[in-house]
Amino acid sequence: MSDHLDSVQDPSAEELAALEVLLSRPELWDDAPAGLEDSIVAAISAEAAFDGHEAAPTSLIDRRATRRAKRRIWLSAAAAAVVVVVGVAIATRGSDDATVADGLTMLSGTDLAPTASASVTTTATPAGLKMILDTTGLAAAPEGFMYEAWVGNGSIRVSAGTFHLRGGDGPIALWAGVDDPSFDQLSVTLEPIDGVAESSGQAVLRGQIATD
Amino acid sequence: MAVMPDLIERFKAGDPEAVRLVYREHAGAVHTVARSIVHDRELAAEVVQQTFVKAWRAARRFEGNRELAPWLYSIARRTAIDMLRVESKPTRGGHEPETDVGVTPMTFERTWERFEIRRAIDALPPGEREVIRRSHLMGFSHDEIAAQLQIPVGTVKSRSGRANKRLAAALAHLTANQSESSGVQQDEDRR
Repeated sequence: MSDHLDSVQDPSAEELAALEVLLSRPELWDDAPAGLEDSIVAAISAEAAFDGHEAAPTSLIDRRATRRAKRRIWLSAAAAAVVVVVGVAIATRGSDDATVADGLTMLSGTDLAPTASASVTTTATPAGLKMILDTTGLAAAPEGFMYEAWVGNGSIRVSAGTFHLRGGDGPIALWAGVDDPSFDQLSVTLEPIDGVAESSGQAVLRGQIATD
Repeated sequence: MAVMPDLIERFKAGDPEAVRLVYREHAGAVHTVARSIVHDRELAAEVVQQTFVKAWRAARRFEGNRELAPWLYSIARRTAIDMLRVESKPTRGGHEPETDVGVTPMTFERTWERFEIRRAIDALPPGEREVIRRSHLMGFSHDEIAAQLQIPVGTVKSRSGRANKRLAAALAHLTANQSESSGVQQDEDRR
């Protein structure tokens, strides 16, 4: 490379000025979160082992169709459950104004945890939004890692608590100190236990909080 | 990047080592495309995840004589735009039917340009890359960079010179366009 470079002409002042402009954009220098590589390798290895890869649907379109069908089933189930929960909420509203069940949210697994899903019962309380998360198919967080729930509105995210599932997969109580209805996005990420408050970006579950 | 003769075939098979090599070669450029379109850091990370997983799922249809980078680029861009549309839906779970808001992502050419620039940056030796990052992104002088990195100013200058040569050669088609458009801009400014 150095021999080749020695024979290359130095860039002109005009070229250097153009390079300076081209290279000054921050997104060109930002890197994906550390740990993402391990997560992707793990997700692909798990899926390759799970469906043998060769036996998988032959095209992305097939896979999308399968996912759409699954999503429709989930949405139907979620809609039915919301009707039940809203009914319960109306029934309990008169007797207990302090806590009102607002809805049921279904979370879908991302490509990092394609077989995972979860239901979340949300309850607005005077102290904030209480959520009971019930996961299915989500593996326990590896040693040195934990899961973290986040509530967001598209531009801001706040943590709603952490958990690891290493003791089993029973319901998990989460709290978020926000009562703004625009905070309608709920996600769960895999986080290294490293004291860094910022999200790793490695989402394993994602969904919209049901609002009316 | 370490050479693996049958990299594509091993990637298709889900070989972890091959997946890592493909990721390390292309993750930076894929991430740049994602950030250029979705802006949000967490969403961009998810775009990167989905891009590589989708690429692996579709890899059986990938012909080994093609270049991997443009193929990954097209998956990344499509994934980022899909993510942007999902995140931009205005109503969720309400009584009004959901409708897509207008999403006008950066053009194919502009995101491809950024993909190419990032690949050129990633091809630099680490020492040269750091000098260029500090000078072009952060605006530090050679003297300041030398102090920050605790290396002689002469080393900073030589790294900068070599890196600029590499970048100018790799991005000649873009610097020419940039110069032309700057000229046009200057002409317009004069009027």
